[in-house]
Amino acid sequence: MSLLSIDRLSVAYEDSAKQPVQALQDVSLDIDAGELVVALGASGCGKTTLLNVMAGFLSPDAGQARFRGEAITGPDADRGVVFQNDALFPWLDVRSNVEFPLRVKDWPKRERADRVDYLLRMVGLSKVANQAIWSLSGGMQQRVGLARALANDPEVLLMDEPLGALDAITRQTMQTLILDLWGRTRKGIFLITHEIEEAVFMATQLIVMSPRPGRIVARKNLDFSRRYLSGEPARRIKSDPAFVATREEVLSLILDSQLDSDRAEGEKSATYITRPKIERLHAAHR
Amino acid sequence: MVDVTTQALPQAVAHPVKKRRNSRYLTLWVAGTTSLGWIVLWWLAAELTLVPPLFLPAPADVLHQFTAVARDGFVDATLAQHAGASLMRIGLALLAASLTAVPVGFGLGLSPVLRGIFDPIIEFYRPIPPLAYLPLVVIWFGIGEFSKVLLISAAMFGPIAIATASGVRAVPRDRLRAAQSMGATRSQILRLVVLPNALPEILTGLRIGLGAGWSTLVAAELVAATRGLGFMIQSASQFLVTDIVVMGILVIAIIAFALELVVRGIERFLTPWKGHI
Repeated sequence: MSLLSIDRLSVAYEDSAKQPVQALQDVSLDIDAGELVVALGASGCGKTTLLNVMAGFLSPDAGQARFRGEAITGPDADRGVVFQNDALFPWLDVRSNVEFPLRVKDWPKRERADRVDYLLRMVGLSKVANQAIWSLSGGMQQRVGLARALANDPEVLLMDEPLGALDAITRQTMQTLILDLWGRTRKGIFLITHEIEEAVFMATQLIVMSPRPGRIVARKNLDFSRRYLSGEPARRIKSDPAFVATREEVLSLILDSQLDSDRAEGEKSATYITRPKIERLHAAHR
Repeated sequence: MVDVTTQALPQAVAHPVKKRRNSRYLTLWVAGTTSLGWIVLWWLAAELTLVPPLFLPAPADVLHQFTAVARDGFVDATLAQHAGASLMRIGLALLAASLTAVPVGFGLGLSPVLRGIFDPIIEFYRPIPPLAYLPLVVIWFGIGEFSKVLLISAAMFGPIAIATASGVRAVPRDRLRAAQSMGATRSQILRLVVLPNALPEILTGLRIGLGAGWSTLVAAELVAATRGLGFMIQSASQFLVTDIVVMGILVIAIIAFALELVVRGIERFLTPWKGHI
């Protein structure tokens, strides 16, 4: 039995113009302990909706989401969530932010302090423990978010584009930090990104999603992140021909699926206009 | 040909930080000179008797009344007693208004039912000038201290409740979800996430409420008061002692400004993150 399993999930909602949008259609997915599942896709492909269902923020219209065999009915401390930004508490300093989940769970003060020290050391924030959140850089803030999500020692970590707002260089170091934490804790991780290289580098299971309706169009099992954990330098992995080939293959997959969904869309309505552009792009990448 | 845009821009673009600091000093400097200018004009007008003293007393007379009333009093109370009575009313009203308006604001922000109950009432009485419903307050609650405080706190209630409600509604969704996914209960979320998140707006509401309270002060002290800055000004106007009227206005302005600074200090102390995130 998988740790977290999603079975034939469908979610629909109305957009601001009252048009029905099929955010997810018939999506199935399993996440096991020690696995790092990455969802990759353009915006609007339903990857955040999928995460929200896993976290318990959203209930599906059809299908099931189960955690350790039991239906997910709401948010729970066993499933930690890391948000893109704006989810830290600016009225608390770094330390108190990481301590927050322990405080709401009524941990004794002494154990709380030890646990927070340990977490801060793990993400490399010991030196800024007493600083204000808003005085930190974006990358440091995401480290706080990571430490906070790990505080409860959840079995699954759900990350909604945790690196989306970071600059390219900070992004690289954060990728390896997340992999190091994953290797150390062996948690099941579900991570969302729209960065192809990041997805290929980090995933053990990569799912490629496509919009309108949101669905999984391809799955790949990869091992680049495991190679990193066994000591190979990140730069060498990313310049490995096998890595480059996989990256290009995934890019083609995405462009193909986009072309398909645009064709389907074009048959229904007049939004045909983007098609030539995508075909050109597609040709350029072949 | 001269390009006007590139001529005007360098100053702003090359040193945006320096520029902003300079413009703040400029504003302060202009504010200072303008205020000084008004006082000089006032002094000149009185000195040359361009306007009879009944309409515009000389600055020196107003200054004299300041010390005279502080020492000897006017209508049976010294300046400190008048100011103390008014401050007491404002303080009690602020306390009463924040103890009631903050919880009501939470209700407005959280529950559609409570919003349905309170919104019409608040929006109904808020635009009405306190002087208009003063007679009702007096008929219902008499001419005692209670009516005065009630009138002032009624004026404060609306702005505080509305600001609190908007602060409560403005909590970023991800912050709430983060707290939920850490296992926080509903009451913990209200206490530890929603309340601190709404604090900046609550304090803004208090500031606006305080302003509304001061503008209601004179109305509140119209009926059966024996002390208070509003009462002092009214009595002075009945006796046509214009210099005391002007002095009273200045005292209210100075106290209100000082309180504004205090609240801003509290804001900086309690919500240092405001404007950063």
